[in-house]
Amino acid sequence: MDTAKVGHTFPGRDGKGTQMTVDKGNKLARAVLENSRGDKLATDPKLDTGSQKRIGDQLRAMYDELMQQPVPDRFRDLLDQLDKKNGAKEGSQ
Amino acid sequence: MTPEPEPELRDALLAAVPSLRAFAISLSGQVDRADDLVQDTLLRALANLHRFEPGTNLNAWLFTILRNLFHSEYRKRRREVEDPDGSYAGRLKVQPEQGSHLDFEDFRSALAKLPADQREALLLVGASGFSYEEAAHICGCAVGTIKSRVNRARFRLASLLNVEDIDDLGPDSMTRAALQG
Repeated sequence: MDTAKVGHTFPGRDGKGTQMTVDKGNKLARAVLENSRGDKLATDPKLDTGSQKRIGDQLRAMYDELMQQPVPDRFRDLLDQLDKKNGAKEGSQ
Repeated sequence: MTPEPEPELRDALLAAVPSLRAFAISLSGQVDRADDLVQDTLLRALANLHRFEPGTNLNAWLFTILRNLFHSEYRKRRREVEDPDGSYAGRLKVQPEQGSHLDFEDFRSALAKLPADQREALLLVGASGFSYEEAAHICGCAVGTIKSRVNRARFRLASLLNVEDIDDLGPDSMTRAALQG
């Protein structure tokens, strides 16, 4: 997802858009920007979007299956008990 | 002593159980242990309701509790039992009765090979639907750390599952093939 943002540029309608600060600062800003892009790629190996998507899909599929499992009674009982203990005798379920 | 849990709160807690369980099972690799973790999480949440800020994300709060319980227990167990990674990997495969299909077996065992911090970050961001910021808050670390862990987790999973090989069928190789043909 981050890779999609890499192509982002500053708005430069008037031709001055990239000059955020004084001339001196501009060069520095650009260097920092390029550097941070480079760093990201250098320190963290990055997957292409296709592989990322496949990993993500498998992960969610596995997770969804777990989410679909019925809630064990112990949790319903636990929360019901606490309701009763507090006098709020809810006859739900 | 415990503030009275209102019906909506009880429902909210109950509604959170499936995602707490999915996280706990994926984190610990053991259904029984995961359910104990979820139960402890609920009890702790109820005992500390006064600390929960209404209007903030209840799920994130519950995940934080569960995550902290998991880690304190993990540290305790680690002192008792050696080879935690190996046993985790072994355990992950032994839960077919929970309805897990063979399709996911490779994925589960790959997930089990990840360092715990990477697995946790990936589960929070890639499966539980938390933002990087929320995940950072839950894990008590910087956003950049989470991003880095998630990236590494994905990268490692991809190489464990040979996902990258499949990717050779992508546009690049097609272009290559076209040029060659």
